[in-house]
Amino acid sequence: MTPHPVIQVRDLVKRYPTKTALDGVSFDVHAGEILGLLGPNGAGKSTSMKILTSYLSPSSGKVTVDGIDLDVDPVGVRALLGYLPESTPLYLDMVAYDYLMWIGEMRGFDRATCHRRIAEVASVVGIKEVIGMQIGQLSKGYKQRVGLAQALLHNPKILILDEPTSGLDPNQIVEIRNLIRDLGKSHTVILSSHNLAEVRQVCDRIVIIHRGKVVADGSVDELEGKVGASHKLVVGVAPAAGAPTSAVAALLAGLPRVKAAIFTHDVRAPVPHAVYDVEADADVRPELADAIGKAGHTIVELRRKSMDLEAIFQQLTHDV
Amino acid sequence: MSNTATESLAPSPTRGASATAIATPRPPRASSMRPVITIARREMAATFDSPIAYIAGTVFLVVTGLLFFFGVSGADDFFAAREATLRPLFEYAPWVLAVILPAVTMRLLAEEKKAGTLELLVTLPVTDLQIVLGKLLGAVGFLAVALLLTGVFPLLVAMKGAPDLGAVAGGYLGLFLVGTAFLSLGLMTSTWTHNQIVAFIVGLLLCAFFWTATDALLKAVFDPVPSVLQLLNFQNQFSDFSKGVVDLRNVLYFVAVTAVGVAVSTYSLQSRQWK
Amino acid sequence: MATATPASPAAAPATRSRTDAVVMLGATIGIAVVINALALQTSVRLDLTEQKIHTLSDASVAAAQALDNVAVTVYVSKKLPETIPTPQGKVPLRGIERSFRDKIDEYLRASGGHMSIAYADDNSPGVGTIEEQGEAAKLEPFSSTEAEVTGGQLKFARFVMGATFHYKTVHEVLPKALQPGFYEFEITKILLRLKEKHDNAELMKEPLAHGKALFEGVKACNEAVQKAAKVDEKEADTTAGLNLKAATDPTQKRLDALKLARPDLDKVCKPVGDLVTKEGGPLKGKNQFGDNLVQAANQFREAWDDLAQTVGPAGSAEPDKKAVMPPHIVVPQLVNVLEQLFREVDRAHQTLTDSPGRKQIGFLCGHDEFCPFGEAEPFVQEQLAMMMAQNNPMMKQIVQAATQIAQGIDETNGRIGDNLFTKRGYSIRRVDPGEPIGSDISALIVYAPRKAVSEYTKFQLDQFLLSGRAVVMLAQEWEVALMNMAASDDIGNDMRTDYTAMTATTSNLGDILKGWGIELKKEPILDSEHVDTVRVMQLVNRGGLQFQTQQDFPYGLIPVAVDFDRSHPLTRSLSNLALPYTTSLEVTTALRNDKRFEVVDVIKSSKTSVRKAPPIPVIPPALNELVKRTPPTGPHTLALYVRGPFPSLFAGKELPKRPKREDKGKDPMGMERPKDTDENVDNDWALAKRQFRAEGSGKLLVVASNLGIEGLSRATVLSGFDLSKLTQFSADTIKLYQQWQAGFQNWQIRIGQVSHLLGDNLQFLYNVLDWASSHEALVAIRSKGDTRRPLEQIENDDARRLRLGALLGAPLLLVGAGLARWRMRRRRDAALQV
Repeated sequence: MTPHPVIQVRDLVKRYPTKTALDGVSFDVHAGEILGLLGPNGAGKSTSMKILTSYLSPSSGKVTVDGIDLDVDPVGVRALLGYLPESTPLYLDMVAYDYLMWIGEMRGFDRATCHRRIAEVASVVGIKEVIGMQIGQLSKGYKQRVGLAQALLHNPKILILDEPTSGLDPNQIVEIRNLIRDLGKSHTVILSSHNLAEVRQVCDRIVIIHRGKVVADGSVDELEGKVGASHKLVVGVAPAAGAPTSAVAALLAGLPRVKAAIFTHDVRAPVPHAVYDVEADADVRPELADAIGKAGHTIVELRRKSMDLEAIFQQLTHDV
Repeated sequence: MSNTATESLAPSPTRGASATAIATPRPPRASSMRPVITIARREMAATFDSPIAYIAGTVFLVVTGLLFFFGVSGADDFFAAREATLRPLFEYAPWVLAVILPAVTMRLLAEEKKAGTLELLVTLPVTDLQIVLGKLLGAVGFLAVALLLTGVFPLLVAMKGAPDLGAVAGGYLGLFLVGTAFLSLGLMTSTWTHNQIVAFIVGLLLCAFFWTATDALLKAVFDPVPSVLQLLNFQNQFSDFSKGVVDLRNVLYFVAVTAVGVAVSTYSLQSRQWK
Repeated sequence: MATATPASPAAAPATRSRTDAVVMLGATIGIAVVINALALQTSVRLDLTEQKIHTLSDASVAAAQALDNVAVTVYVSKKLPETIPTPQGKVPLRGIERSFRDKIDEYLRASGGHMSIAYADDNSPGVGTIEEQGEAAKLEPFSSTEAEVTGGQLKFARFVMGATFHYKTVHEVLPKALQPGFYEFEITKILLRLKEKHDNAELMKEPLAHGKALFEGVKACNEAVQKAAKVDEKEADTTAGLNLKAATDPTQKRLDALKLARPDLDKVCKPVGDLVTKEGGPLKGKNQFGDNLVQAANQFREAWDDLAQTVGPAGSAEPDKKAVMPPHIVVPQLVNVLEQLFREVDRAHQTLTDSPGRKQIGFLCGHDEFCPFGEAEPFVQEQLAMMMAQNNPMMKQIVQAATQIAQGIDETNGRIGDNLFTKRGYSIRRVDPGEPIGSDISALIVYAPRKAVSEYTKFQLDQFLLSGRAVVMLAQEWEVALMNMAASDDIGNDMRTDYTAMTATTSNLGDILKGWGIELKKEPILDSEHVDTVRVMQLVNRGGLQFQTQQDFPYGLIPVAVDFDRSHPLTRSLSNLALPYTTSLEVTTALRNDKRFEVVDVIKSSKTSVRKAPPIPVIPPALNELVKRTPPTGPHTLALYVRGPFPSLFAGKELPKRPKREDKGKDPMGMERPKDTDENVDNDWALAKRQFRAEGSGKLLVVASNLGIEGLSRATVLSGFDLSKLTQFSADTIKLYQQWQAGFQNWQIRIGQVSHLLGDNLQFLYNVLDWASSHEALVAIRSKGDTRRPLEQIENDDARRLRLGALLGAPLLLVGAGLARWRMRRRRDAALQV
């Protein structure tokens, strides 16, 4: 990670007549990292990205991309970026190949280079087999890939992807996430999402935006540390023969730093066990596993309970 | 995802050459015509891929043809007049253009706004002016095709007589200029809304206003209408062309109207960035 | 990439706020307006038309440069109407003002500073509206189609658009400029005329001086009378103070005022009578304008005499007792009449002053040719008619009927002359046979005589040509009657349709031309391909009702000329000329080879034309059948231009004497005519001999057709009218009367047969007139402004096919190309691989 950030965002404010979309957002993006902009709908993720791509202008604040002041040379900045707007707007009546060719020409490539790049990008995003089809006839996933291909065509330094997985089915989501992770190896990527799991899976670093403000900025671990002041676990225990569920609950609750342990439900098959919610002050998984083992019970399941985004926000905003 | 493909995106020392070759070219200068032409080509292809081009084109050719042969009243007969002239064509074609050209321009930006593709377009390394000019040029391409197809009328007249080819050339130049001015007005209204029908109706009203109604409306305010304001009327500015006279004043007028239309469109497109 | 150049702000001025945008847009519009405003001052224009229709011709530029300091005053109403009514319907005025100003500006630039232009305005106090100024400057006001309500009255507003041109002492007016196509023609004509007028004014000094003296005398008298008669209440009280009782009625007051002013009036008005004899004497007989002025002045004098008599001598309380009407009623009328007559005098004087610039074109009359004038002489002498009537009241009726027909003919001819020539600015003049041709005539038209001209007229023609002036001869060797009306054999029945026939005229133009080496062939020229149509009126009897229908047939006897001499101004821009019933012209080898002569075959018939001696059937199908059978002999010369030293036809011969004029009593003005005597005739003969030219350079244009314009004359229609034979009333008399009516109808029918050709043919005729009156420059300008580009005659079926082809062809091409493109793309897309 280079010490000089590729993108510097400083004190962005974007006011609309009726509301303030961004209220002093600042963050850096470093070369080669995949940055996740996280936040619920309407938090200001898209607005930030629109400003980065100079679709919108900030009311105040400053953005520098690769040393170029966005305010001075927006066209120069746009040349460095590949952008996939939210919900992937495409010219539906165009054939994918023609569309990509057009994008390439708009970006200043000659047709031969375009053709070569289309071939390369098409195999990267996996649209070779649909390259001769009208975009309008493609499935949602393919459309998304065409959108990605469009953003990748000029091998941009920076990729900006606004909600790249929204509206896709789970398989497609997995594929696109993998794709983005691969791309992240050679590009600086900013993606926005309201899905914490996705961000955690894909991103090196997360900036959480809430109500127009950056509420958290750091690596996944750092953030989890930050919000990890409360650790919630889900524990599935097949009690030792004859042991009542309440005994397990008591055992769990009795462990040091555990604040509460509550039985939630039984699971009968394939391995019958009882499930407990455990709340602790720290990550107590090793101690917990240890204690259960020692008591003769069997751990069937032990995982951290994922926090939903809203909860994190609540927590973060509460903390801040 | 194959590994080799991923590698091609991550320039390795061995593939450095190819990576350099695909390095993004410098963004074209803001005054460059290249993106303008690229946009125009796509617009023309989009126009001729959609039925609107064929509907508008057919309506234009048939209605103009009927007016050419029979006049407004339907009682005139071109062949009975036995005159090798194309004045009827130049007299009536602008009326039809004023109606069909807004139908061609209505989708130019309204459609992109509605579909969201505008966001992609304006974040490509081009200026708003280049976009507007490209869109206009694409529509002008349609106009050129439509006017080219009216060539059957001079052809027919030349078969049966000897029309004044100079006058015909002047008339066509006039049609082209007045048509471009109409397109510029139509494009302007298309930047104002994401509703194509609204863009069409407002465009039509504007074109009709400039083509025919300025006199009447101005008369309601001024009586007599100052001659300076009479110059606003497209018809007054067009009549010399149909006679075969190309007057710098008339040319500049239509160029100016087109330029103002382009300017308004550009600023309207930029309004998204206003603080 | 980090060093990417910032976008140039000038190339793409990005706006950051609404205010920015408003400012930038304001700047854009401002620049656009400034550039356009600057452009309005320029006049960079490109005339793409093949003949530079919209650019001043060299002749116009030369005319503008030839005059020093022409002052032009332009009168254009501030608010012009949308449309104006014309006989052709409403005509829009859109943009006409700009065209007019542009054209004037073009002259200004062409003149190289020799012209100054002022635009009349109504800004300064006391000058009146532009319309009033224009009318005062003798412009012709016009009204719009829309009436306006002013002061509760429906009124047609009046407008002016025109200009006046001053050059040194002379003056010309463009009274109404509503036809942009003719602006150049009109303005250049005015400029040429200004020059000629100025040049000729020197020569005409004497008659103009007489005219002016006469005019001033009349003017002084009229002014004095009008002033004296203009009384309002107050004035009447003081001036007529002595006669207070009588002065209650304003008309009575006026009478009293006039009576009171009588001594002063006598002083001014009595001399008018003397002036008419003193100044009018030398003016009379010089030219028609002088005559007109003297006549008008004379009428004014008579009216003054009447007024003087009615008013009675100064101071006498009792006016003329013989008066039928009370004088206080008659006097105001007379005062008004005087004013009207003064205006006549003014107009006549104006025309006289203008006359030096007008070249007069003479039309020879008296041989059943096209003679566009009413006759000066009454059809039947009044005394004679009275005598006849005393003998037989029925005869009175028949004479009256004949007189009416004669009047109809006169009016028609007069109207034709007015509409075709006078209103277009040609000054035409009647040339009667048996009279010397006036020296003020610069060109002579012999328009298709159907009777032989006398030896004396031939002599006049000969000498006119040899004097260097232009002679135009149009020949009519055949009369073609597709339908002829005739009196019915049964009295009381309608007229019957008579024969269809082709009869030779008795014109002797051929004899005359032969003397100059030109042969006018007697055989008609027919054509099978290049023909126009004849329009046939047919009376169809259907269910006892008669319907008139018309039908056009392609007609071999109306060949269309296709071969024009493009080097000659007469035919340079002609494209279509149909020459009904034409014969052909040939030139002797001697003349053709004579280097001193310029011989141009200006119009020729097509290669498919046929020269065919009669008999020729005139019914269209039969005729066309004949033409198809006959092998072509064309091309033939149909019009010929010859310039050079013509020999006189009378060289070495005894010159013919002028026939003695008949004693016709008083002239139409009521003045006694001097009796012609043998001595007069001999004197004229002696003079003619002294002036005789045996050779002289002249220019002659001969056209072997009448262009479809057939003369209407008393002699042709009222054939058989002989007072001496009309002593007894009989059935024949009624038949005769019917025959006259038929004669008039036959003329209408024959004109109607070819009337659709007149538009193009008249253009040629106007070219001929301009050329003949040596305004050759105008020929070029007119043909430019009025170039017709004809479309081939297209049969109905063909027209339908062509229309359908054009209407469907273009859209089909569009849609077809679209489909082809779509299919190509689909094939490509399917095969697309990367």
